[in-house]
Amino acid sequence: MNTLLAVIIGALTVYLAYTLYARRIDRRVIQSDPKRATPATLYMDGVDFMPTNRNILFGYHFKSIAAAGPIIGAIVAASLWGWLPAIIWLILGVSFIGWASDYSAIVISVRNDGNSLSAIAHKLVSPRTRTVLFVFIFFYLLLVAGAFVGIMATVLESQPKTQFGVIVLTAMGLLLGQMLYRWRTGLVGATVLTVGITMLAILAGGWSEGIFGALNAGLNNLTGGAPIVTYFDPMLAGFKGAEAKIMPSLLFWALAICAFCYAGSVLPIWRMAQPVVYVGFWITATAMFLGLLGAAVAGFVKPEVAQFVIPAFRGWNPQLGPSGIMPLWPMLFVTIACGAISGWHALFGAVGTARQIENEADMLPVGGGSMLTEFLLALLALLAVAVGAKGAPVAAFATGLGGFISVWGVPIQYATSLAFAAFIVIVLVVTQLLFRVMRVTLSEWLGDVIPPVRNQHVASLVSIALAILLVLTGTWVYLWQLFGGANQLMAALSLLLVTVWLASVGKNWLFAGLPAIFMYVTTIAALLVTAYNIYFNVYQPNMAAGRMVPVVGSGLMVLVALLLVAAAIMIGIDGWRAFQRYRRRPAPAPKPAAARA
Amino acid sequence: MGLRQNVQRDLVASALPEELQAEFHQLSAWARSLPGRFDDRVRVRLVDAASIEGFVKSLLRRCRRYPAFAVDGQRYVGSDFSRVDVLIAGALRRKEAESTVPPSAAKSN
Repeated sequence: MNTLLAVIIGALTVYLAYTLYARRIDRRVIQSDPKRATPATLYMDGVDFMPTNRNILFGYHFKSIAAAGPIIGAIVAASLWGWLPAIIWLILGVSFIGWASDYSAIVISVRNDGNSLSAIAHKLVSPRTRTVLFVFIFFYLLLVAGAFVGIMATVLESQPKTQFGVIVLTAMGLLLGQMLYRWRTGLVGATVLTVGITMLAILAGGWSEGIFGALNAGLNNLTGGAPIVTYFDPMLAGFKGAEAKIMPSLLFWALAICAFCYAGSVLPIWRMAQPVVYVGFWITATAMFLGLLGAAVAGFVKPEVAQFVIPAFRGWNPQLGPSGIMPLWPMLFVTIACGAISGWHALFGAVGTARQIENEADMLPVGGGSMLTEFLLALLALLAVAVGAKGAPVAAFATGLGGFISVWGVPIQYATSLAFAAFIVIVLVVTQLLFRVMRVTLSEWLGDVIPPVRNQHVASLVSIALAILLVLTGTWVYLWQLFGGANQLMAALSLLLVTVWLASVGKNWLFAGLPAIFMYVTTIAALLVTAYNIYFNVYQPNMAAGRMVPVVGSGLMVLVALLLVAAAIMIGIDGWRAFQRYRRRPAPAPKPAAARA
Repeated sequence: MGLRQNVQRDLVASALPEELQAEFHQLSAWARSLPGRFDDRVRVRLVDAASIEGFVKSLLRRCRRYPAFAVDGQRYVGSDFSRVDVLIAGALRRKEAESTVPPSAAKSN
């Protein structure tokens, strides 16, 4: 297998899924009508409801759904089961489930006055479904935050050459905010200055490696070389598991990331979050654009970076720790999340994008099109790790992507630095916004019962403390799979809701119903397997050794997994009852669509 | 559950410094008044200056200060909206003189 063939397969998948399946569903089942007024045009308020051109909305939606998920999921799956199962699930998942989930979440919201999934669940299924979804979302966000902080801290600690670039990115983000919003400098000049300096700092990372390596060593000397936390890591020793240590340097970088996120969460958007995202966009866009094109032409220009070097298939149930099980079904389907299907997309599509759809004919290109584009991003990550194969998963990804970028004549050490930076920036900019949403969610959820969490600093610090606790368990791979399970379960619940709605309006529900059943069963099974793995591979060994931090963290993870399963079962029962009710007697026909002016 | 509204409110409230927020509200009010004064002959497209699209537009139209307006090829930079009204009226007159052509476009960076 080589990268050119994979790129061709990817392009064909996008073309066939869109033209042969998605368009057919859009025309025959949903019957999107360009003349039907959308919530954006009916309730335009300039903030929430705003008719937006389809090209702009596509970019906005894609930017909001494409984060670390498609990259990390593909990397972890390839390292556990090999590249072949990963690429097959990516192709089949996006073709038959992924686009349908994203698209139908937008459709159901557009056809229900722009309401969110929880509001529609309240109306179509039952009032308690809405409450259960609310609790579900908070824990889902917590898992994402823990998984993202964990992987970033590990990369920063183990790759001192990346640290300087991230520090400069933060400084340049703050400078850009000051230049644009206080000094009113022109955007072009400010962009050239801040992005240029950040890019130089990233490329100069190799020169600063010694300084930050010494900083790490100095931090570790604070405890005389003793670890802060010792835990059992099932990923070590060829997946047989071994004792691992969290050193002060890793905690330092985890706390540094949290400090960054805290600032992103409580400072005004214009001061930090927005300009950092803006500068970061240029870094990631440059790396991804050069990387994807490089992957396509590498076979002709630089064949040594175009051949897959990791095994195509590593086994149906690779051993992960002494007591762990990692069966391909259901675990592959939650490990690779966003590149094939994602609940976040449905959640965001229903409450954000749907309220900006100008014309029903835009629902498919924006919703389905964005998902298919994200599939290409996941494919790029898979290719990078498949040809890289040096070191830990993220290092393999950076090596592979660096190889693709080097096709354009960029020296390999600079190209790899850029790839590392692109990865960190993608995860970092999402995580800072994530904590902001968590802070608001926590305040909304518990503000009446525990008044102090209404304070933005308290709510932010509580969210950060919970995420750090998860990181300190050290069991990152399980944390990721728990997040994947919650994410895919969210997608299953969204598809379930769409199925109920389709039944309620007397439409063919199979295109959403069959994927809903598959994802629902798969994700519940995956959450149970993950809970089993965490309990036997992490909780028990650490309990036996009397290590309290991993015990509390892993205990929390088992609890969250079981809570998610319980929530899903309750929603599933309510959904099934509603589905049966509507199949026996569909809801009254909706009012005729208002004509567009 | 109101979560969406609360997140949205939080984001909108901290999106701009106070003086820029006031300026943005003035700009919004002016843009909303356009249909009343020019009927449907004017199409407004608002572009966020601090975005990728804003970068491209700023580069192509050589804008260094904001808000910047482009009315049918003519530029104005500043907050005196009456001057933009004059540009729009002039553009509409020219269009009418040239008989039936597509509606003019007003853009703001």
